[in-house]
Amino acid sequence: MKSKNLLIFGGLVLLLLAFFVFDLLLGSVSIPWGDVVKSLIGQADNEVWTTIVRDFRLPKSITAVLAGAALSVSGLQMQTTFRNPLAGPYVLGISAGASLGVAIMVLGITSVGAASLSGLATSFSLAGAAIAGAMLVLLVVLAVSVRVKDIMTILILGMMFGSGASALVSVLQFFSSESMLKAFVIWTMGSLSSVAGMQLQVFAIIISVGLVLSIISIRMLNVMLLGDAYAKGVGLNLTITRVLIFSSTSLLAGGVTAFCGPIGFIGIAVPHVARMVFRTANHSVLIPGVMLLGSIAMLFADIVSQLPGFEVTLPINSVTALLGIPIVVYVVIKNQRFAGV
Amino acid sequence: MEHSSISISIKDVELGYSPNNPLLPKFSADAHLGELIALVGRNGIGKSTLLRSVVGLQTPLSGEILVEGKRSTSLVRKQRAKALSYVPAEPVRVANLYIRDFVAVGRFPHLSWSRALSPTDWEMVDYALKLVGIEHLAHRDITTVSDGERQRAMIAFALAQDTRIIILDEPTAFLDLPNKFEMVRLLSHLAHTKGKTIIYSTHDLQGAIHEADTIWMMLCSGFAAGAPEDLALSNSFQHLLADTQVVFDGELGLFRNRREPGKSVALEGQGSVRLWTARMLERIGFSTDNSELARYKVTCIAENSIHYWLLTENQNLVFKTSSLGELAKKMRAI
Repeated sequence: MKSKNLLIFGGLVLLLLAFFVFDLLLGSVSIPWGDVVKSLIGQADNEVWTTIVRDFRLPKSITAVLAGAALSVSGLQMQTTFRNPLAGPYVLGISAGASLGVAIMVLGITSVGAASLSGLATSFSLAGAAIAGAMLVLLVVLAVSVRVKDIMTILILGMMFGSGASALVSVLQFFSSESMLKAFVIWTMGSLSSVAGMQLQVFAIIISVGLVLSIISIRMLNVMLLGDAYAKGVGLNLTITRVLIFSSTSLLAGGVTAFCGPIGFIGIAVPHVARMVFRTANHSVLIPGVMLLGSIAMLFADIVSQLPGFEVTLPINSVTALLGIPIVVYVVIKNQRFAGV
Repeated sequence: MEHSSISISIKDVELGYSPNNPLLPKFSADAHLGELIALVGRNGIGKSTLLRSVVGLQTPLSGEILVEGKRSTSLVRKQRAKALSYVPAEPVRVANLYIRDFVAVGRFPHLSWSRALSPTDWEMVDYALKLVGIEHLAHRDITTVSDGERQRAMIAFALAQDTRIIILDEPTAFLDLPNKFEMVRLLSHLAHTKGKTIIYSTHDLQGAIHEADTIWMMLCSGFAAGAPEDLALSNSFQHLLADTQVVFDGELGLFRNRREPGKSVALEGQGSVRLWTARMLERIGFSTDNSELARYKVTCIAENSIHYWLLTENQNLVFKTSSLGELAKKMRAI
């Protein structure tokens, strides 16, 4: 059985590499694949091509790989922690908190004329605002989870915080100008291409820390899967475990939301795909599994969003939703035992 | 010597959710090493509360519970998880969870940040599966096995945890009759050959009377403990059945519905045929009366392993049959 898993992992790594290269090939300017490789290693003659590949396409593909892995891992963590197949990275209200941060930034501050939305400076401050919003929600959730024992209560409170934040966002939207509204709506559609240079480094660090925390939590997740009674029976410290898992999820989901916008469905759907592919509930297989599958799914979504023939690229959020929804529907219908829980 | 064999000591414990209204009066009890204890009592009397208090998941209203001489609530999580394991009542239903992976989680208290599952740990997991007789199911999804097999996997989990004390909350609740008996026999086997102290709560008194070394009875009026046979002889099980229509038949060792004595009938016959005829008569509301005064009389005849029954009224034959069911129908019409 272990050798079967190794075979699957090998296949997925190859698939990831293939998608990564294919993703680099796509774009509004057509560049032959030989020149793409040359541009990457800095041997190409065409300066423009080198710039396009190294400054635009490569960062975007790396962002896709990181964001896909991050969303899928945090989705798996939430599904296990809440023992709910429809939980995702955003159940704790993290994306709603990030949205509120961005909304205050875009719609609140800018509408009183304190800053202009154009220019590179804003995308960093957008990320900062999103992180601040996500952190705020995280702190509230952590404070609650240290005091409240029942996991369902935490889930409900997380959803309520999220709904509250969304309501505030609506209020801000109502009072904002049309151009600001459009800027905010575009942010909510998600984008992998606004992360480059310094931002990509910060993004990569945030996601890496989140992923390392998730690897540390593997053994605890295997216990959490069995429910609170077993967790207490084997002496698991629930408070420490929840703080660890929620911190990891906030870094992952909050980081992605901050830099790429609230990208949906990857986090809910990929863990189910991983369970179908590996046929296991063991997180020492599932965590690396969802990292690979999440990266592949995100690259695939990016490829679909810019399929040759389209003049413009589709919003990434619509693509992930269109790809993810059938999987979630399939899971809900197939696993009636889940639906009954 | 006597003291060191005590696994769990319950001292003047009061259980409940409000200090003014404990579930039952203060009680004390000891569980000894290698002893199988069945905890019985009506729904809501606090069996699960007691077990959870022993495991340290809950604090009693007053009194203390010692686990191997140390107060249960003062034990550090992992220490406690190495001293006793707890098998909850709810069956594990996680899709795609292999039984071997599930049982391996039982090794958690013995692991640390720097120590992952070693080959020795896996050996213990496989040994636990073997002890409960499901080693052939190691690579099966836990949602695809029967309730009995799943319950065995849950016990293997506790064995992998490698504790001297095992606490089980209603391990026989979801099982069919043969599985109920086998489950209790397995627990008895583990207690007596592996030296485990096992406390399990149950509503299956019959099985408990059959296999348990000691029965702990929780009653509104108080707590009683003793060997099942002692409790039967002292008619203690009647306390469990107070205010119900169920009685404990001390002679047969069976529980049954209380019946109002009805019309009387004389019964003649021997052995098991007589026994089952009497049971049928009782079921349909007759009391057996062997005086000559009875108007009706049933005679059981067993010859060449063929059974038949004669019903006479004032010594005149009125019915003859080879089925107790037919006889029951006829007599109901009387």
